Amino acid sequence: MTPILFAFSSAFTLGLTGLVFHRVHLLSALLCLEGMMLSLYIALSTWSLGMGSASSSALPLFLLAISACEAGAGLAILVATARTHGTDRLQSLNLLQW
Amino acid sequence: MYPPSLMMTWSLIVVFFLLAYPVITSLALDPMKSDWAVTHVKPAVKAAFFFSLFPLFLFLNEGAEADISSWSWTNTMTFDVNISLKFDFYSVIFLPVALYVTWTILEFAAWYMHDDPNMNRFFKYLLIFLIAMVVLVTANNLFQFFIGWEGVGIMSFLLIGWWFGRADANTAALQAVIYNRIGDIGLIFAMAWIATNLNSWEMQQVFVAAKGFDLTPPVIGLIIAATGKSAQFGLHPWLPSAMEGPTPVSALLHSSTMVVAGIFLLIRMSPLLENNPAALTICLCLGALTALFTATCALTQNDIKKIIAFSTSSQLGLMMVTIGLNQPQLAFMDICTHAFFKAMLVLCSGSIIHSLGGEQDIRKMAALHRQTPWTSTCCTIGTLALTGTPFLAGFFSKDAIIEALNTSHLNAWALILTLLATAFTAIYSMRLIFFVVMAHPMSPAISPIEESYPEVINSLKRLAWGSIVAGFLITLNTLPLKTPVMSMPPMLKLAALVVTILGLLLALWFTSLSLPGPQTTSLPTPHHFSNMLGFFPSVIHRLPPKLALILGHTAANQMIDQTWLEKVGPKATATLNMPLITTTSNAQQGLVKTHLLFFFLTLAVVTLTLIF
Amino acid sequence: MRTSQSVRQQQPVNMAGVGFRRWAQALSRGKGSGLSALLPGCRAASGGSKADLPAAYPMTPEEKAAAAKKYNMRVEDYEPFPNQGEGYGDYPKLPDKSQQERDPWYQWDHPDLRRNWGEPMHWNFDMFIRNRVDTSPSPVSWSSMCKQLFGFIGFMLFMFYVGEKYPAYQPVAPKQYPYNNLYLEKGGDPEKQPEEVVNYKI
Repeated sequence: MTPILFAFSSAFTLGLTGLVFHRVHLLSALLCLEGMMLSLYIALSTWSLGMGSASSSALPLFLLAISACEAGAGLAILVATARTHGTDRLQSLNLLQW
Repeated sequence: MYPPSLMMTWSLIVVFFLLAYPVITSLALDPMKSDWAVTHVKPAVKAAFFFSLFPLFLFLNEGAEADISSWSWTNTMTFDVNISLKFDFYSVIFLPVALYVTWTILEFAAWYMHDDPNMNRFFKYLLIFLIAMVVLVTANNLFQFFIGWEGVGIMSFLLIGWWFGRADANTAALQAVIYNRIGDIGLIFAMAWIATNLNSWEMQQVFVAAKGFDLTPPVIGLIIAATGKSAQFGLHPWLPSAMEGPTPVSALLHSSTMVVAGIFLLIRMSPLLENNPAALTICLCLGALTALFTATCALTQNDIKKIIAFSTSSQLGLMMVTIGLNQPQLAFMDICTHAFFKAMLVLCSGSIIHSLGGEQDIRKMAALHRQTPWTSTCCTIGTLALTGTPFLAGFFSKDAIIEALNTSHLNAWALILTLLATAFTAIYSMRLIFFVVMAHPMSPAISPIEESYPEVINSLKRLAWGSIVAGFLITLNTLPLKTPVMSMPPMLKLAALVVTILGLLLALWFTSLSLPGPQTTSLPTPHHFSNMLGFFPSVIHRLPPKLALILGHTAANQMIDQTWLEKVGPKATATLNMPLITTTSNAQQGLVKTHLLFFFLTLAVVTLTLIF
Repeated sequence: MRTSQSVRQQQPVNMAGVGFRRWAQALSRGKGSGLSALLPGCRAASGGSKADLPAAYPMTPEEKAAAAKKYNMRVEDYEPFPNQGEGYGDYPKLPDKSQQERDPWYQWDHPDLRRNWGEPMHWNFDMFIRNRVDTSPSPVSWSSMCKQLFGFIGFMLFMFYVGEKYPAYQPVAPKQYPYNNLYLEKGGDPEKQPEEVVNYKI
């Protein structure tokens, strides 16, 4: 495994671990999600280097745009949660749980 | 032209003309005189009877038969419908019998209906009925037969509902017409099958062309037609209800003439039935079931006319049994003898009803043998003829039928049922005689008992003579077409007589148990079964009409619109998706972290597996 | 003069006889469309306005009371059909009793129908007249009647089947045919001589 491969896959895995095991704050989950997006961005950027063709060099920018939207949506949810529940602690998001 | 056939044709045309003349002249513009019925209709029928004796004597003398094929009514390229009249053994003998009985009944009706304001119309209806019956009997093709068939059905409807202000009479008339209509389905189906497969409705051609065909479908149709018209089990409730009509109507239509039309159809079409054992078995079993069922119902009836109606139905069952035995001639003889004594019984009951001021309940009549000797005598003669007393009219036909039944290799249960029905005949006849004629009076002290009118006495006398000698005369003068079995064990020969006498003794023993009087204990269950006519009308007249009417109304108006416009369209989406949605949301408990954890674990495990 | 004029204008006028100008004026005034202004303005003589027709399902108690009054019933007796989309509206749900059950000796307004004038009609009234379905109580219960009737029919059908299997008047021996057991009719060889039958040997 090349170092760059190891770098972004481990970054992705660490971000995923953070997303899964977040305990207290919604904001930390969103941050981990951003970290996953970042690792994917790096992966896509080195894609064209690895494949030897330049046709996929525009792909990272698409991912960036989409992830920005996603981050915006996530933050909007965070703000709405803070407005309705008063906090972003995850224990308060229990309406649909049994 | 050969004189006998000329004579025969001429006299029969005259008979038709004599019967039609009063009906046609009643359409004239000047008003009818009030005694038009007595001066025009009765003499017409009397003259028609005497004219119809010419063909009868010609037939008896030299076996002359006539088939008159006249006016071509309509024809397509390959199918002809003509007016054709057939005067063979059956019509030539039945015509005088029917005219004799009708003449007697009209004379009686002149007395019975004398205070009815519409008596002339009543007689006109009876005459139109008679014309339809004659058309039916003399028809040589099925189309003409059907005209007569429908004619008698409609006149039956009009005459049963004669007192139409009474809702029960209307219901009874409706019943008659609806049950007959159900039978007509069978007849029309048979006619359609015959027209499309045998290319004609002329009976001679049908019989010849039918060789080699599988005749089960049309024959089943004919049996259904006979079930409807002759009140066999399944389509029988209209006959006791038809007693809502005036007594002359019950005497003419529902005892002697109209109800035998179904049996007559089967007799006419007997060459089609001969080679079809399935059809014969159906006739046999249906007839035996009818005979027993209606005799059971007659055992506990309290209305004198209903007892006689059930007795008619039972005898019709017996005639159907004869058809099932492949003996159309015996059935025909039973029709002729039955006409006499049954009409007489009905006329006796009419005389009794008028004498007691409209009382029809036998528990309120008794001891009439002292008060109305003529009527009770004729009643007794009629009852004896009905039960098959040796050498009266009924004996010759009934005993022959039971002998033929005993010596046939046929359904044993049908045999048992018919013998039981014969015993029951004796029982309910004895009950009738006991309640009406014997014992002490149960009617009010002052009743308008009056039977010295010549119309009543003459009518009853005439039919009494017929009940005594008719069977003998007919048997003497007719050659059997099928060989009767001449030798049989003595028990089989005497079976009918023994069974009747047993029934009579049983009935006498019952009468000794309790005199007619107030009932002090509650009646047992079999009495209810018998009295409520086997619950057949109670069940069949309530549930199927209710279901059919509700289906027609609610289903047609509401359910269809609601189904197609609501339940299949918009609401279907909701009702189909809601369970899915509910299940899915219930399955997802909001344990996001647990789900993600499992995803992570799976990923870790896969990675580790792939590395090593 | 003015009152008659105003009265005349309030009543629907037969415009056909008054000329084209008047008709155009009426059309522009909007008093009914052209055709209905042309037709004579008469109403049906039988009373009953639209308020007397059946209406939608009553939701509030006031609507229920109004509906009961419309159908000439007491508010306690009035019960509409359940609102399940079948289109009954506010029509009352009367008990399923046939006219046969009503008192035959009472002096009804319509004696044959056993009904008084103005009485609310059952939804299925034409089914419950005296010539049709009869719901009057029978001396024997319905289940007992059905059981006895169909039991009787079933028993008879079964016994007929048994009777077909074991018919009466059984023959004593198998059928014997003449002419050497109908040898020629059954298609035997005409040339062949009949074989000698030896029944005994002395």
